[in-house]
Amino acid sequence: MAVLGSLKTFKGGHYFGLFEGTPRGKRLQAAPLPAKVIIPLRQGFSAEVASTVKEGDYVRTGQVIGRAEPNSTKPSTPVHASISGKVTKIEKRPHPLGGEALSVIIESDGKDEWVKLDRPANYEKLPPEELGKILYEAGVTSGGQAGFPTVYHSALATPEKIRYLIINAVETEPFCEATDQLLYEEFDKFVNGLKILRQALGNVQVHIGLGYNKPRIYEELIERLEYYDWCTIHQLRPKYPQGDDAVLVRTLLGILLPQRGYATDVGCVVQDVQQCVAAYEAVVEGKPFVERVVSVAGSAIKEPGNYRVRVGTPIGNLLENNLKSNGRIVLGSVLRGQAQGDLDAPITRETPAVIALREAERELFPVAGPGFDRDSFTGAYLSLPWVRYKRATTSLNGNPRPCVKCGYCVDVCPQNLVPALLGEYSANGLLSEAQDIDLFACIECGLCAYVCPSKIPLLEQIREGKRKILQGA
Amino acid sequence: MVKDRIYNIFERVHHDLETRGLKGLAILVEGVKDSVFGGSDKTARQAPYIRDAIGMQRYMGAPIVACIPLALASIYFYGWRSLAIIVLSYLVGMAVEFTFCAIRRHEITEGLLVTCMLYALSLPPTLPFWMVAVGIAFAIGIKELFGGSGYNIFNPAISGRAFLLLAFPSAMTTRWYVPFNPLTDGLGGFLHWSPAVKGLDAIAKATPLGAFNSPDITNPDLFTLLTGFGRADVLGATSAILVILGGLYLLRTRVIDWRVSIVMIVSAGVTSQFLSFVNPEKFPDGIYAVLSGGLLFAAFLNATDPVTSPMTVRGRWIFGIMLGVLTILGRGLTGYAEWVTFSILIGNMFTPLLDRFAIPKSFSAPAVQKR
Repeated sequence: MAVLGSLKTFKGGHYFGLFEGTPRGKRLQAAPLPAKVIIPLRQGFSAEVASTVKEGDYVRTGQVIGRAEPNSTKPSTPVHASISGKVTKIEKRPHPLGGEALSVIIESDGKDEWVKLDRPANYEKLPPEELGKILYEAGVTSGGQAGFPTVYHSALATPEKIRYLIINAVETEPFCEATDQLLYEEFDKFVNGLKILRQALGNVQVHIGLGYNKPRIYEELIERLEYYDWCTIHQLRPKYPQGDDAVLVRTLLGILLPQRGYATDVGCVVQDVQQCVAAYEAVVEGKPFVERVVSVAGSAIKEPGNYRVRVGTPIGNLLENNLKSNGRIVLGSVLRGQAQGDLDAPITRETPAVIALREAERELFPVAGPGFDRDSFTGAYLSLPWVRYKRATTSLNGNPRPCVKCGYCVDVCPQNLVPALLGEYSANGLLSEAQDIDLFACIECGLCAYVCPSKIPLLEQIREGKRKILQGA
Repeated sequence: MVKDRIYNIFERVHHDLETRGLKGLAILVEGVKDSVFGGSDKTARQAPYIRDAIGMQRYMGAPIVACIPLALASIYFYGWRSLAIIVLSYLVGMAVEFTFCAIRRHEITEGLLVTCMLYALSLPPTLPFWMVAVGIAFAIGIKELFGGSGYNIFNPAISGRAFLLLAFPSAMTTRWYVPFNPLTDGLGGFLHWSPAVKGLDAIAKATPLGAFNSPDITNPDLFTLLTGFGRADVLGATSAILVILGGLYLLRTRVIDWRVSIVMIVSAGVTSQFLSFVNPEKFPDGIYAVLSGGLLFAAFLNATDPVTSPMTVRGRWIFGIMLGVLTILGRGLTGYAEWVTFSILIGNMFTPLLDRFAIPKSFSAPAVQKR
């Protein structure tokens, strides 16, 4: 095994402070079983699958309720029931990641009876195809950052094209602590799971990107993987957005991702801790991927915590009696995620966190304060080491102004773009000019809009520009 | 809550003015409300849902903080008249800006506060008040004609100063006071209106830059240049140490970029040092060139104006080097001693070009053909 001593990082990015309501170090707890679940048949990145159950059917936990039509060529994975009970409805519902999707609504019978997968006798001897099939059947294949499929049965890429398996064990997203916690608590499953994933991909090279704020895990990983020459451990600075596919692949391997492309286009499969653990549970324990870890966090949460949550649980169940005030509820990421008005929006296989933020509060002359509890890319605020938590509200912290070309967005952009120009061009309909300066190299990490002192919605403008181009093309 | 009551009063007044058709006044009320609440009442409607604590108020506040020691020092050095210059340029500047904003119905922006301060601090202490007023009116007026903060091509403070240099060259370049000196004058300017009370002793022959160009005046030594004790110069640039402290503060807060400021200073120093080997009559050594005139002040406070300097790293390098070299060449080869003003204006003209063409290469490969 190769262990790289030096810390790797990338140009740009931002170290977020610890925001109030971050469940750092909170042990994983099992969330109570929901009375009903809403399971969209489009999980994450994959295409929508057809329902295999009817209204009124009785299903058991882990039973397949949707899979691709036999002649479908789009990448997708089977979708499973996450509780046992009766299918009460199958209808179109808003998908938490945007758009609408056919969703199966199951009312729990409270028994939680499982259907488990067939467990192979000796999985270490299985050929990749067999292993891939188990993972596909277990639904492990959709998860990770954009819900991208793990294994070639359901991926855009074919197996011979995959050269690297990249494990994302650096969590840099604010408020998302659950995957870190999973790494600490299920370390054995993680290590075995990543071996399984590697085996399923045909024994490719494995690169692990680990945050350097986890020295204990680093030591243990070295101990466990010392004798394998297929594995390289990289220590990374925990700077947002290090966990993004494009940034991670570039930092670890020096490979640039193509515009409008994915990691699979350059022969990489990126998986995070949750996928490794799920792969282990599928192959060794026979459990389909129906439960994931979720952080319930944010400044409007009374008791932030990390939970094991069944897929399809409405976010209202997690926030019940736990909200301080009317917060803004965001799924997944406060930087790039979508605010949810509907407490019935379900947790999907790729939701790492449910975040509730306090709404903006009026302050008199906020500019005059020293800002001990403010997070800023600039050095204009005095953050004190003993003020542990940074303030997190939905306040803009400033009045919208015309761009003054301060260049913060350029400094912070991990993709070396000029976001101010991209936003300006996109907002004014200069789409070919925007493409000339690599609009599609943008990974939509949202940092440019975060740091902008003029409070220009750069992320929104850039997304709008991309949408217009894709619609026009 | 008091805050909510104040907020509601603003809202009501604003609403009443709008319904009566007084849109211009309503915009002024809106501006006052925004400056009181600092945008804390505004909410992020799209992702990202949390935003950096930095707002335009804090951003534009940093240069003012850096200028406060300079303003206090200028009162000490040149008496209360210098405070009068600063206050006057604020009053006239605000009047012009508010008029424009009310007529053109756009928001009042914080850049105004920086412009007035930097403008006042770049004037000689002897300048008649009416010229101060004319200069700042020109500066803000020109900025507003281009569309206000964010759209102006030329640095407003510098364009006001340049206007005065061309319109009133002798008032701007030939009349100087010897500042009060802490080593001999005790409380100095804090007790006086201006150094004129000292009679003939108060009239300085030249600034350090002028001294270098005239063979019969001895050049001030390094101590004088650094501390400003006995150095006749414009209000803000008298004490180099205070300017450097302000600059370090701005660099620390990331409000200015070292690629403009430090690069400009170093390139000016290196150019002058090199040319002084060629022609020591025209070009001083590097240290003297950097410390004399308004170069330090302009490099930290004027050249780094975000609107009129480039955005990209490469653009900033080019901009900084260009400004440094132009300043030294202009000082040595043209009739005007203080060329930093003109080099910044010339640099400003290149900024839109640099912004469009010094674009970094993105970290991405060309798009793939989709299956």
